[in-house]
Amino acid sequence: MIVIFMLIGISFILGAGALVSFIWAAKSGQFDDLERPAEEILFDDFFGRS
Amino acid sequence: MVMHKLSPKTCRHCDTPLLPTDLSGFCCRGCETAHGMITSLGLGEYYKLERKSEGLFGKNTNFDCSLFDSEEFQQQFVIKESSDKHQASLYLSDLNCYACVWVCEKAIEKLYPGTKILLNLAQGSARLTYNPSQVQLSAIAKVLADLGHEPSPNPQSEKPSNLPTIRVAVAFFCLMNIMLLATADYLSYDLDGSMFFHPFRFISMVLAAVIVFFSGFSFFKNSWTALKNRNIDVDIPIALAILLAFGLSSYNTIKLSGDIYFDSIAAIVFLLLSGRALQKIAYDRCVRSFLMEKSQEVTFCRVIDEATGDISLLPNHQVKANTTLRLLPGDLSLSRSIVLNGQSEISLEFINGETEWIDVSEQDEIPSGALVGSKPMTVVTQESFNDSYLNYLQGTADELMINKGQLLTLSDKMSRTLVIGILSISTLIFLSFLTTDPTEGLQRAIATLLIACPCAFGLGFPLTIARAFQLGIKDSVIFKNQKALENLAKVKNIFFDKTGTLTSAVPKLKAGYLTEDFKHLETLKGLCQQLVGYSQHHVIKGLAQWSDKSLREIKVISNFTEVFGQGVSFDCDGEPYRIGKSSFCGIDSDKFNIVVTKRGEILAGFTYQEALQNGSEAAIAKLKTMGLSLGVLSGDKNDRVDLLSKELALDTDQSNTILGDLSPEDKARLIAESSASAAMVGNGINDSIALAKAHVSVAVKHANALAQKSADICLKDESLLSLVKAIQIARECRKAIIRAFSFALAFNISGVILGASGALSPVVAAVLMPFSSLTVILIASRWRPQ
Repeated sequence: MIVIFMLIGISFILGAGALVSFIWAAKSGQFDDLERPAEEILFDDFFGRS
Repeated sequence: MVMHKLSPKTCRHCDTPLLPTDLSGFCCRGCETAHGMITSLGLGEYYKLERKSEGLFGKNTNFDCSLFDSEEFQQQFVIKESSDKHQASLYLSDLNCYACVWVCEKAIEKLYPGTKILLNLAQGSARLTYNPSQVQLSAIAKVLADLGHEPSPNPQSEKPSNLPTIRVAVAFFCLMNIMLLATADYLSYDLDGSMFFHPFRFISMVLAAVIVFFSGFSFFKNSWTALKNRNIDVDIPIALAILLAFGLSSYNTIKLSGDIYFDSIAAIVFLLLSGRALQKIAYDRCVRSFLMEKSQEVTFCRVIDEATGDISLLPNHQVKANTTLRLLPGDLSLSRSIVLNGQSEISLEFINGETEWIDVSEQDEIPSGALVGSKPMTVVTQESFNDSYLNYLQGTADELMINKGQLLTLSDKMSRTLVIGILSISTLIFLSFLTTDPTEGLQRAIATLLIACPCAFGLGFPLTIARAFQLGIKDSVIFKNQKALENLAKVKNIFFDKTGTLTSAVPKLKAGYLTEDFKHLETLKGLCQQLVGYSQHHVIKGLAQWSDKSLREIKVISNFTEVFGQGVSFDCDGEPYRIGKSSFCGIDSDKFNIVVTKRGEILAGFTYQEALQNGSEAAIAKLKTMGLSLGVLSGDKNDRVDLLSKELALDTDQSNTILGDLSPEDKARLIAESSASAAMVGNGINDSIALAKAHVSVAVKHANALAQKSADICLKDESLLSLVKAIQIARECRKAIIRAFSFALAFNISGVILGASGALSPVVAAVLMPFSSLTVILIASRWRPQ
């Protein structure tokens, strides 16, 4: 049954990984503007990559 | 006599100014083709739309940027990182798509190398980094305004913190792990005695400690502030329950026996935090659209140095008597002043609701709060701003607003009742066990606190309010706060201001007389429109409005002369025309306010007529069917108010209050006397005290800045039909709150009873809890006004 502890450990690490990447994303401003990137991609061809 | 040299002719498609020699009406072949295509497809409406929206390229030539260089003004939104690096936070108007973003960013970077600007499309804001020794902020502001995006200060110059989002994320992480560890419990599998029992409980305790003291920090902070100010706050029982439950559970974990509630604590904290985060997002949007919509508040004025003639900006409250000020078109005169130089018109629209423009010239006195018409003037103040009428009204309105902030709303009352209820039931349970088994008593009391999970507050209220804010923005209504929304639902009487609210602020010119042999009505209409390019005088503007057809024919106008206070004369097709007062045009009749003559013969006569605001009639009729009693409180003359109320069929019901000749104080008094649930709808400075005093107040579009500040709700649409929408949203929102509350209450009561009697197994409870939250979410976020 010791495998349960291993599984709990793995799930914890995976969860913590997701949490850390979320915090990194929030800190680097990925959620600041949710509309601009969606439209920006449509203009790449037109204006050229900036 | 003033000669105008400005070319009035612009391209009929793109409004680019044309050379005087260019008679085609277009700047290029492309525009001509586009115009032909658009009109041939029957889409000529496009040109009306285009002329209506003021946010198009190059139209904002009137935008005054000088304010942006003032040190005091910059304090609101500029961070000085170093002497050559300043950071400004701005809101930009009409930021609609990425194309707007692209053109602003590229234009600024090309024009001012070294300046960085980053636009946020979702927020409609910009973050600007510039070197003040190389470029002035006003120059950048001018470019942005010319591009059609008027900048205004964003007072939240600090970047919004990510901490609340991170707190929710951490709470979610801890909650999921605690629930994973509690799976066995949910499946009624007794771990007690197995090797997992204690390790699982210890891990849960650590995770719960993180959630309580990191994520749930705001509950403790809010409770502490509330206790310090001797207030009752919803956060107090929440903080108490979390702390007690966590304390007891940790104690039981460490002593290796007894119940734990870590999963309940985690779920409550997570649900409450995410509900609040969602409400904050919707609220921020509302406040943002208010800040962007609000006309620049008049806090600065232009002072002329008498010795040098230089103009500098001075905060209003520093203005003393005998100061020389420069007033530009659209400005308000701060205090009672004498005109020193210049001729213009003033309107007392915001002061007493009268719409006529009054011509003023040198040595005339203008009162405090008068709106300046088409031309700039230099005036000398006769009193300091602190002694002025404008300041008196502003101060009174501010004071009333502060008092109003202390009223309670429906959700406040509900929260209080429930808070006191839960706390007293828990205390009773604890007290009843005090003599027999205090530990057991404490456990049961905490269990009750937790079962009565306040998901109605945590999720139901914030989501309902957030939805109402969103629906409001969609229908051009800005609710400035939750109270405005809840109070509007209970309104029974609505009082309207007349001028600018029920009627349009600019009186329309009504054609009273057109000569029989005047065959070229269309030509006259076209002519009137074209004259706007020469003169911004209100008569000319009024004539242009009268001729609402799009331009048919371009005429060559020459010898344009404007005689102040009289009218204009010009030649067209070799014939002399005059537009203005009868005496100026040589007509011996005072039947009309304005006449048009050709070679001294009368072509047309116009009288001023008050025009109803678009949609006023329909809105009034609709409001009547909604069971509201309506009234008019106006500063304008009684006979005109009566005329209007007849036109709107407001006089059919004797109980309606319809009064004219009221001072601002009268309006406020009548509002206060009328009933506890009266709403005031207005636009002027003279409405501001009444707006601040009323139970709930609404400022219409184009309202004066002070009125917008004093009002709880701002309409972004000229038509009063948006007021009808606002009331429908508010009423439906109130119903949704009550529905969510009753459901949560019924669910919790049956939960407590079933749980206490032992009829509810943990696994059923674990399934039912999310189900109840889900139902509350659905009730809160799916409603819509009929």
